[in-house]
Amino acid sequence: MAKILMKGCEAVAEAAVRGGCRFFAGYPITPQNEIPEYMSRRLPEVGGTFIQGESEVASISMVYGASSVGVRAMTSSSGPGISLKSEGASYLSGTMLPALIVDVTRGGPGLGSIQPSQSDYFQLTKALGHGGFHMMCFAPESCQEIVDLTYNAFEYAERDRNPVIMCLDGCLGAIMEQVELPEMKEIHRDKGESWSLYRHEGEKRDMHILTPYLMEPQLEQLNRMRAKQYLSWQKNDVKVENFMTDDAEFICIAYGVSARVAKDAIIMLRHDGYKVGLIRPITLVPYPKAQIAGLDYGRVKGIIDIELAIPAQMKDDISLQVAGRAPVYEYGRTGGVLFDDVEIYGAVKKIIDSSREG
Amino acid sequence: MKTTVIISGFGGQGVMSAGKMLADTASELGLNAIYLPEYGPQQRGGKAKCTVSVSDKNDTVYSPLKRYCDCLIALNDLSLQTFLPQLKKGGILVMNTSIIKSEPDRDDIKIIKVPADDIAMKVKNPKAGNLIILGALTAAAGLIKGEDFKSSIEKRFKSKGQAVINSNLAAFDEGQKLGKIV
Repeated sequence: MAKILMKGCEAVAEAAVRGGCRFFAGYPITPQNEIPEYMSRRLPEVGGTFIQGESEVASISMVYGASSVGVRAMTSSSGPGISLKSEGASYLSGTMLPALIVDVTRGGPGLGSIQPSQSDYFQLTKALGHGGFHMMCFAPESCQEIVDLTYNAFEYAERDRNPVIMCLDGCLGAIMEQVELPEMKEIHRDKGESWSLYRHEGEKRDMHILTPYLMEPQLEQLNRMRAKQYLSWQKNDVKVENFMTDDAEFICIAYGVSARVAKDAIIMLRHDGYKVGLIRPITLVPYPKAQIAGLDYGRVKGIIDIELAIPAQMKDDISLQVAGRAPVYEYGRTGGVLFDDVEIYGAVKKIIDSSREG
Repeated sequence: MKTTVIISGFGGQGVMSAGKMLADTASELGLNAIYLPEYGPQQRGGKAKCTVSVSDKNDTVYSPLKRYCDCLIALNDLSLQTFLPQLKKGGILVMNTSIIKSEPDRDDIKIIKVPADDIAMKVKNPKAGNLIILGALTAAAGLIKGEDFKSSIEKRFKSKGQAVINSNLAAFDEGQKLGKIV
């Protein structure tokens, strides 16, 4: 299929539609407005439904409703709106309903700025809502990767009966690149999903979605099941890219657009004789723990966390795996201020040089 | 091969559509293209900038956020002042002299002066300033052949009718003439 030029926000929307999404509800916020804009035009073409909700809370609640009758449903927002949707995310996970949530991140905290930032790592990976649950979280770096990951997001969500998060930074949402789009998936719902409240003709089964658990042991059972599920993600679902790491003495760790900036910086550093590589987590949940823990710390002299966030939010996850075997440094910009390739080149070079002197 | 182009001016000058056209055409020719728009909340008159990086598979541009560019298109004074230091030595500057009155203070770059708005008025296509500039850039930089760009213009404006296509092609050709001289 021919490649076409597409914006990150449009790519996530089109890939979701091709992956079977037939319901979208959202509320406007920069820098993700192109997603609802695209969906408002696209979903009616495929018999789907687009609703601009009266608020973020209403929107995710509509997604909750659509999902409960077996429709592949999606919402999107940016940090401030994702905060509002966090209650709904917790309810989706608590009632074991699949959904796709997209966060196009901007500067925070608070209303923050509308410019790109990677400010929501804590929010997306640690606790998007109350009750102690996790969601698989994908962090693509290019428009093609947005397409590939989004296209299969509903399979994960339905397998686990849990919402899935797609984390795009504002920069990735805005850039245009070539993408190759996959075929439209045929989703057959002739027999209702076991979790769906929609009963097809002739189908006989109990239908209920449990919201409050008045039998406490049942809730304990759910959480134990989830705990096992999270462990299985760690074993089977981690996605990670290694870039020039084979002989690297210093390893940068970055995701999303930061990883791309780091790659050009690393090429420049290699030119100068610095043995630097990059580990790029593609899944933030599950985090590529084994890949970081399993590095050869006889060779690796330092780890450098590069993020559009100050303080660096991913650093704790990295440090847990490095476990004191090498120093973990950080470099970042925040609040919607961006770094470029030359800035990262300089920053990494300075860290390496001063660690050698020290 | 990798080339990064920064295009900058104020909102309404066609900065974003010029960048998109460049990325689109490169993409149609099988090259990798990254287009990054940057703008504030204003629709007209605000700062507008976009970066287009074109590369092939053997020599890929990864970062959409580049410090230095190989070509700079400056459509107003502020853009020239802001981004001229980011133009690489030996790089190409295309400046819109219908608006920019200052002289670029560098002697290590190729400078192409294009009175884009005046030419646009002359060819009776006032919106085509960005096409004239792109004509000059492609002629001078050899990034994309003029003919390839022209077939892209034909495709892009197909729905607007032959008169619009011809007028846009004429504007592009005017730019090409100026770019070839340098």
